[in-house]
Amino acid sequence: MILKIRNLTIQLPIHRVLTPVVRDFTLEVARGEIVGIAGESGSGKSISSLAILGLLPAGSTVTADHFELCGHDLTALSARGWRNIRGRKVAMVFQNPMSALDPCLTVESQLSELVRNVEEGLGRKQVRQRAVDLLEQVGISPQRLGAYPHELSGGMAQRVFIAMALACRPALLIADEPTTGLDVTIQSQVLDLLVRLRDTIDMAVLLVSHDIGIIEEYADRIVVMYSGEIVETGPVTMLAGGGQHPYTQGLLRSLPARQGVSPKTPLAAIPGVVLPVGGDIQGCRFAPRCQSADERCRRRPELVPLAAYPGSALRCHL
Amino acid sequence: MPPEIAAFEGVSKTFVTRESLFRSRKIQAVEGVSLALRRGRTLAVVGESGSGKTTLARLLMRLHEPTSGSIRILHDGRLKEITAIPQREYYRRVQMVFQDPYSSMNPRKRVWQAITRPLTNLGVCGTGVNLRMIAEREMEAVGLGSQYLEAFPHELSGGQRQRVAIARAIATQPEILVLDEPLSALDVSVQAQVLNLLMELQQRRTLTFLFITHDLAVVRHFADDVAVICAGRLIEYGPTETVMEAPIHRYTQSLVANIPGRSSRKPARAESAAQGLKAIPLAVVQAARRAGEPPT
Amino acid sequence: MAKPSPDVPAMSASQKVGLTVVLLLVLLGGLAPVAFDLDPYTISSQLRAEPGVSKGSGPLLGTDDLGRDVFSRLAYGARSSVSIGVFVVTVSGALGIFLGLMAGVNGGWIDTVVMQVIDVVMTVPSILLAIVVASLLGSGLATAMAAATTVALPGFVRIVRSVAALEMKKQYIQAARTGGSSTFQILWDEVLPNCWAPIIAQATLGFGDAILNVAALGFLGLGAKPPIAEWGAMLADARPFIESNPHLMVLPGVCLMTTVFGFSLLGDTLQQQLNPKGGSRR
Repeated sequence: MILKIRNLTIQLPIHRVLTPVVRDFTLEVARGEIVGIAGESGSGKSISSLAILGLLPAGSTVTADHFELCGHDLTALSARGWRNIRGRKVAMVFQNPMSALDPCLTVESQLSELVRNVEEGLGRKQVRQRAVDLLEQVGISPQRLGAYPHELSGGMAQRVFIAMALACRPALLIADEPTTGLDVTIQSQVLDLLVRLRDTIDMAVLLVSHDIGIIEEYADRIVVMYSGEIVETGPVTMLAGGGQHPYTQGLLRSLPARQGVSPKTPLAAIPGVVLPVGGDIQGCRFAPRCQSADERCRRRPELVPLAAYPGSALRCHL
Repeated sequence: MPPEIAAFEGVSKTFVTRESLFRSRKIQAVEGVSLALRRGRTLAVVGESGSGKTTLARLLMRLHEPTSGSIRILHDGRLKEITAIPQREYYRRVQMVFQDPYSSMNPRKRVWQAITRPLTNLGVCGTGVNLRMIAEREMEAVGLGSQYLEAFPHELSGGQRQRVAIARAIATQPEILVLDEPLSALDVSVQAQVLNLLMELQQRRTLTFLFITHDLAVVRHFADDVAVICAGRLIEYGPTETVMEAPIHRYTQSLVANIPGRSSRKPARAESAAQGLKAIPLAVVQAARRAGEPPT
Repeated sequence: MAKPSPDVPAMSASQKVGLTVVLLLVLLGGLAPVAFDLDPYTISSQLRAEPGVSKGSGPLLGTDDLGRDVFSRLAYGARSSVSIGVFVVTVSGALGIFLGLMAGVNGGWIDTVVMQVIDVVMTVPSILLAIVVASLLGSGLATAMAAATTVALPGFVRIVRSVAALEMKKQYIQAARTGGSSTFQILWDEVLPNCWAPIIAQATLGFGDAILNVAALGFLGLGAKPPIAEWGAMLADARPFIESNPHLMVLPGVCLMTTVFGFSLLGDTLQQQLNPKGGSRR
């Protein structure tokens, strides 16, 4: 088990008041699996991934029953401790790769710098060979070593970014919206690469996206987040039935790609807007937007395992 | 078939960028494109980024001028060159919704100012009282309450901003609406809301849409006709059903095949192991084994 | 994104110091002459070069070589400095905004021409440029101010032009165009409001620069002519007496230094707060 989180609560200083933005976050990621976190703006998915990297803004607090990465406890880690974790045990790629790559350095320089940081005492040739290996791993020809970031297409830049993340041989790769802003054909290139990494080197991948279609297609297990909480989690095959939680059902129905919906008919959209961050509410956080909410939903539902699917859980009274 | 309301005829656009004082570079953004917009229908223009689809939108909005070819719009019963029509009149009839709801509104202007400014500039109306009422009416049409009129853009969510952008565009009661990837920056559930809104508006106000997108799933659901652009050239063009069900060109076929959906699920780990990883070149696997030792 | 009415951030310590200095300067130049009925011009042979603090009936800081009251001259010098600063900053600011907007909004050859000219102006060290301008136009306070204005111009043009060029790429400018706004409306309504913050920061820094440049010219004899009380000229006049009456040089020097220091503090911190995109003043 690479990543083990139980009941993580994150509080951020908003207008100088500590407000909980993520509550009772529970997640386990094993080697060789892709876990997808699906959620929209304000769901807390990005904050959760930042917490795993220790990149929360100053003044934030993190409390958990269990918060462990490769055997290291992450709840009370010093700055030095984090430096050993970040990049070494866990690495992250974000959307918009162009902003992550230094525009003044070639691909080779940027990769070599990382390789040299991680592995001491390598000669120039060995460093170069490692850079070539990394590019091969992400499916880019070594000819591109001399290229500058602006000479790369969006998809290629994102793959270089992944290569840089892999340079330090992390156990866990977090991909936060890696394909947002990229064209559809490029999206599949990048996501196929993540699958390949899972299959060839047993990489544990945490795929975070607002597009539940991508998660459904590429992940092994799924975690659905809404307004700072996990509302549904389990194997991705759960979604074949349309999902268990009303929010998941709503998300799936919103996808125009769903077969069976005739063109030009209104999509079954979820009415209303997401609860603002830190907004307080009694009971279920989705209730105001839920079609089937009733009396029971005044009480906050707990995360309860589902019998039908192994390793799954649902936060709903219905 | 409804009448043609606008048409591109053999339109080409070349951009000249100045690299230094003496050297310049020519970029052919659009080449020989001919399309037609029919009243009350949605024409989707699909392509990857850099394909020239956004340039087409800008050409119709007179933000650029075509290097060759002509763009015509229905005027006094016949199709007339758009440059022959006075700008103010043109912008009353043709409006645009931009891609990024975060930067398409001036952060210092309140919502009602953003909506009503074009009304005064384009000579749609004059006195101050009318403006407020019109702003309220348009906000209602896009499903936002009048309590948002005094808000600044940063106080609204992405979906709300996009609705305001739509309200701004339809305030002048245009006939043609150009939408440049209006859904790309929005969350999936918000996309559905905005899409429903656009469909409703199209029905109620008989709007013609030029819908620029790279999302074929949306095209299949929403567009009547579709034009596929690649590297500035029109590759395929026709009614949506025809193009999507039986794409002729290889490029269109690959676009259609790449629509993420439940029908095309990637094999799970066990399955791909059984398949023997035959999709991945051996060299890659070897490199992976060499480079990525299992982590400690 | 900056909010239209941003919360005024709390002032840092250095900002407070800077602001105090600036206020003191204004007080000195504005009120002191009136409050104390100062007279910087009367030559008196009787009180020649009496240094130090007065012993009762004499002038506060002693007199200079021509028997003029040093304190009065310092105070009037403050007044000159403030007006110099205001003039230079206002004129170069206005001209700079105009040129910067022209360059940034229009782009193309106008942009190229303006920026190349500005680049040439900037390659020349400011003092050298000021000397050249002053010697072309003849010496005197007016020409010194013209020189200081020329030197201050590039800073404003660059800042305004870069903000304008940045803004022009934003989609709401295109939306304004399709909404029927004329180029002037776009300039005035959409672009200019975003320029004020960096302009103010640059203006504050420019104040200190202008005072220093004029003082330098005055010291070199190309600026203010006697009997005008101006710190640079005072420095020049006091040079022969540097050993016998050092206070005649030290006092205006200290005033100059403190003033420029105050403005620099204020301007630097303002710039950090209002113009997070950075960009140094030179």
